[in-house]
Amino acid sequence: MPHTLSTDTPEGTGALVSRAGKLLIVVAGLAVAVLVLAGCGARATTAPEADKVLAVQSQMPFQIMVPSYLPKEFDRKNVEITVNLAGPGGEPMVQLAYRTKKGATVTLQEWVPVNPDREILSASRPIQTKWGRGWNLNQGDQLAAIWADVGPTRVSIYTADVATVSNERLLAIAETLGPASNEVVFSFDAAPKQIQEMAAPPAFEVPITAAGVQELTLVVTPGGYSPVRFSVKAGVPVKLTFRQLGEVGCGNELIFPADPVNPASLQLDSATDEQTIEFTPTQLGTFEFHCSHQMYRGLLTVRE
Amino acid sequence: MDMKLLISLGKPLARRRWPLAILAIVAVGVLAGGLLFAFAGSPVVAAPPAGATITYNLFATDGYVALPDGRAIYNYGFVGGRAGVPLTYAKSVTPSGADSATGAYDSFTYNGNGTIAGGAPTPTPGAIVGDEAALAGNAQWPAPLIYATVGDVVQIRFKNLGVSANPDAPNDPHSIHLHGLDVNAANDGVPETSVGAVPANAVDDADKPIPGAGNVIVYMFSPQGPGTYMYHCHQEADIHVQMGMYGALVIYNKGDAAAKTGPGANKGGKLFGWDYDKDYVLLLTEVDTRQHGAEDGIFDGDFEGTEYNPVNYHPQYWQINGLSFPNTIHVGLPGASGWADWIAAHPGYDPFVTGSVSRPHSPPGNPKGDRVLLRMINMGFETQPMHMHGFHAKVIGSDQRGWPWANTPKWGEGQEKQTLTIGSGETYEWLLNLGQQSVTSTYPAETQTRYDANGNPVANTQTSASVIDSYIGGPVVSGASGLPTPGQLFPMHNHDDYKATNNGVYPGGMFTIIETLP
Repeated sequence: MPHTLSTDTPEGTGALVSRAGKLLIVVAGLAVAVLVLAGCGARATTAPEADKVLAVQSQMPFQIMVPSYLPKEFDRKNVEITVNLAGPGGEPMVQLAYRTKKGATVTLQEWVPVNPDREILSASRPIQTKWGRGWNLNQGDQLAAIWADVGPTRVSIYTADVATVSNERLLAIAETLGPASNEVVFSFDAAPKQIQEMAAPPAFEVPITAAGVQELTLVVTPGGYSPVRFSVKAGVPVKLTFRQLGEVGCGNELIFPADPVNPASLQLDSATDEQTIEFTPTQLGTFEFHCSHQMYRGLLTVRE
Repeated sequence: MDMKLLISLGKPLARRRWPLAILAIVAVGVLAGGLLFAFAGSPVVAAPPAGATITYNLFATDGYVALPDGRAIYNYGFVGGRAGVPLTYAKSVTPSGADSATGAYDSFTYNGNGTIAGGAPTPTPGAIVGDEAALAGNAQWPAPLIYATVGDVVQIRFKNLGVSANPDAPNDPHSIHLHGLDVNAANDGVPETSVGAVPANAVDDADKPIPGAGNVIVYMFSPQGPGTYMYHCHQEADIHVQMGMYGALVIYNKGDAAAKTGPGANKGGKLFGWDYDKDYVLLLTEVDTRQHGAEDGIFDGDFEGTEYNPVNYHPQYWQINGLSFPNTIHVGLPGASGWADWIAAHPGYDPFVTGSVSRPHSPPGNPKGDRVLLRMINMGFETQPMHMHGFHAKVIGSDQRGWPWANTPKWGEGQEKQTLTIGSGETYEWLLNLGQQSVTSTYPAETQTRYDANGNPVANTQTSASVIDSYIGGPVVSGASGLPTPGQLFPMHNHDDYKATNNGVYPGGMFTIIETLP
């Protein structure tokens, strides 16, 4: 029986169109529902980049970590992974770069530092992370970076797109790092983080010698005073020897509050010269000592 | 959804195959499109890679460098380069004949270049190890050129190797100041106002390391604006800058062809709204040998013994990119392959400006000729008036900012200069259109300024009379080798003409040439 295109059905053309229309609406509705659900991003899934990470894992001598949390703009599936780069001390390093459609990038670099105390992020301040110590470099709207020590691995997370990923969000990313195979990833905003600075180490307590004198050699170096903060006990004599190490320019003159009301000036005549001041502190409190231009500074605490 | 309803909807349609088929295709298409959109992730047109990480490994150290007249001086400087890029560095010369009156050496032995196939080594915290030992004592002159793109994150890993070429010289700390990049104060590289300068890898008299010695400092910054910048040490800047611790730093726009190669590579880009076909860095500096001799311990001094007072600064040599004429036009450099060696160790620093006069641009009505961007940088201690013969060039910007009154996208006459006065610390972007001239010019007796491949004047093609041998050029120019093809030669030089000498011998100093090519 030949099939022909014909409109003379028992129901008529109008009924046919209305039925087709209903089917189309159903289909469209389903598509919209799928779109809405997918766009929402509310589902937690395994890390889309896990396969990429596991493919290169054997080339790195430590476990590559990925963050559970990343703002949703970042495309995990197309993360750019580069292995066997060299870290700041020459160690094997892996780099993961996540990008958004608009071209913002957040980059993670991971390595196991050979000498963790001597690889330094310039002008960063020490912060607390849930893993322990970290460093935050904050350059306003130009650059934000966090170094975090996660066990033996150091992770550097940074972005030039501070509008999308602020310092606090970087910390949130850092604190959700984990192995790619285990990670359940999410992108809804976590509770906003606060960057907590590391508490400064306690002031160095000047020891009292057997003769009952607090003796200290205060050294000025290109990096500043060493020790930069120290404390002495009131009522006990102090013998302070001032010297320099390396090129310090005008740092060779020390303005020191042995008497807080009338600070003394100690001037070094040469690179090998030493100047000594002896005094007994009485006034309690914390006082600043500095070079003649107040560029090098330190703190003296007189305690009970 | 009620299955009965679906079935009841489907039944009558099933009797009409074609409408049903069309409907099914449309429905599947909509659904598939929706699914694709939801799950595909990145769009069909990928965003250009942005925010790349550019890493440099740099070391501070000392060395000895040749002067253009066969003498030599002690210098401080940086050495290193981009991570992972094969490194060629110039080895220090071996000086001899210390002259205590001038602080320079009378002669030197040339030691060629060294190479590290894997690139500048990543600094190792602590003592000097491995390839670092090869670099110690070989400070570059000028410092390695740094280049990146707007929005990149640049990391400089920095270690101070201390003095090595002269172990008795002051073992100073060093810093990196990023001039013009407007980072915040802590990152500024000024020892007095930022974090401290990096001490040398040295010990105190009790053999304990100076605090901070041997540290690897990672500087990070993200350049926000394109343009011509520089970097230099800011520890005792009056001494360390004169001693050689300066280099150019160029930031490109995204999409610039030159962003992949750096300057001086015959690649173009766009800056402050102007297109250019190639760019050059011209870094101006001077040398007062007495300062170098004082740091080296060989200068007797004229007022206070071995002390050199910077207020008595009076240079004897003037340089572009660390070279004085005729080295600037590739002539007279030490060693058998003098220029080839030098440019291999100093990529991006060629000061010999050349360009085509006939290169077409679209739309066809636009003037022909290479648009050459001259990135003028003054890292010396004097103000320099730089004068170009044969052309006017448009100043399109200065100190990393466009100048709006030059910024109309047509070759008008706004802001065109042939002599540009550049103060210390300033940069200028000077855009030169080589199409203003032709390749050759005509001289009396109908000779032409053509030289053959050996640099000899060619016969007059019109009258076939031989060219007067000694007519044009003289020994310096006719001896020029490596000229791409014969063309007009236009001096570009410091108009304080005593600065176009090498310690008083003319021509020399801050002097280079612009050459027209076909």
